[in-house]
Amino acid sequence: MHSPTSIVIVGAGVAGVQAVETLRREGYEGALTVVDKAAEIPYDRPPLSKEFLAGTVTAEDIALRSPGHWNQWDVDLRLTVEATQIDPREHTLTTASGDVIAWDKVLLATGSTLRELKVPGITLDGVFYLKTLEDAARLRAALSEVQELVVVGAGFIGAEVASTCRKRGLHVTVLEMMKYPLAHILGEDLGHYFARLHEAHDVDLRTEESIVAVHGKTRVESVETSKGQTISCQAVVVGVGVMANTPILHEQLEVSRGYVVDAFGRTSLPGVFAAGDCTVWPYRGHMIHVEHWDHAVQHAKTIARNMLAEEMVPYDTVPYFWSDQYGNRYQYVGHAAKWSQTVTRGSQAEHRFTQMYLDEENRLLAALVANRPKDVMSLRRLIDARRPVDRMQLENEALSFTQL
Amino acid sequence: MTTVEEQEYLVLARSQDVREGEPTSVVSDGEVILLTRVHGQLHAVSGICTHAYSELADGELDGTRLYCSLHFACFDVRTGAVLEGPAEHPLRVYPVFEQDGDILLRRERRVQGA
Repeated sequence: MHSPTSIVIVGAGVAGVQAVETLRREGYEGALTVVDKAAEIPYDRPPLSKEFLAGTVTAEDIALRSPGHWNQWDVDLRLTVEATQIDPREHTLTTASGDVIAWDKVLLATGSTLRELKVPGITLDGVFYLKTLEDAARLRAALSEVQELVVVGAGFIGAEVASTCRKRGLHVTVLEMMKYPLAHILGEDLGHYFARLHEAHDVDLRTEESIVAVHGKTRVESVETSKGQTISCQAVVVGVGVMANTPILHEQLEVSRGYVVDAFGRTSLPGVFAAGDCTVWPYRGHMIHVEHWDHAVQHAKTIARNMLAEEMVPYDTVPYFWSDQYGNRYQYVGHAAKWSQTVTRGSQAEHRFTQMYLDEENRLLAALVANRPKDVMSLRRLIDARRPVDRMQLENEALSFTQL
Repeated sequence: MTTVEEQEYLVLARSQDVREGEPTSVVSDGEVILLTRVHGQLHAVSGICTHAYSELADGELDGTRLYCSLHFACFDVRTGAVLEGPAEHPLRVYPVFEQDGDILLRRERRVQGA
């Protein structure tokens, strides 16, 4: 394999920025171009629904790297530029404005995009999505005029927005289609826990109820639900999930719920790699899609190295994410689409517990850690080890997870 | 008006409270300070991750490498330097020493004279 002399990264989210840093740290000295359709210097997204929305940090505070780094890395950072086409024979990318960029290797780090709600009235002023800094800034500015807020979807973004807005004193209603929030990831028991958490903070959580219309003359005044209820509100925040963003398509580029990559991050097009939210990738025999910060960082780091390396390294990092809600910190390690048993340490009533998900052979698949941050790293190693563990020992608070 | 610098010493903890390999945080004058002991040697750095709000006492110590439990930023507890992960800025290092079973912080206080 010849070493590349020009690398183009599409997308300057956390994956793209991590790739830039890794390539330079690994000694890559060739041309490095980053294109992103956004106008802002690359920033970190997790604070958008938390500290940024609460008003305790500014846009400058959440820059992913200080401006000096971009000079030091010698990157041709092209903002407000959208790459739209790839030509694998000519080794070029074409932008929306018709510019052609040549490459030896490409990393697609195009992230994810929000699912949109399609109900009457959804385009009224006062309906917000939350993905970009621009979205968050607009929502934050509007909140001062809002007394009643409706959040559609009790997933992580919806829950964090509800939590932040309750703290600001707004009256918050959350609509959730399912019977319990987050139950598809965490199970019914924890779904019930998260439902009570919202209620304990005076959020009006309505489950098995969806939005059917947004009403208002020039801006939102109320929403209508599937149970025929009308909820008065001055703003609506929609958080109904994300999907991989795959703006660049080609007949030989395999896409299925995202860019399909192998363990090394290679797409089906030679020389074209992909990392982060925009991919589906092999994890323990399944092709999975993960849209979380830590995955984007770790995936991009490994794949950027593979773009340079003679011998590539497979990516099999145990996924991890966190969520801050109502002053509590929830951390989740692993990935479990299904499980056969759960084991818990600590107390749900005190909001300090760790729930572990095991397969039929007593191997730890995943864990949800509530306000017990010390558990996280050792559990991640235990999940990584893939060996059976003793249920009784897992349950026994007197034993540290590092001893198992 | 002149400014004089005076040294002062603050007791942060008892020596026995900071055990080998177990990061311990104390609050002194509103600052969270993380104390660690590695091969008997005492180290003190700022106790909040420089990347995002997270208490480093909740993290993991592997030799002199300290990992934050939130995003796994990694610091050297001897120098405060960033070794890995998303943090850009080093941890502040505090001058500490042990005397008569106490851990003491040495700091300079500016006193304004006439």
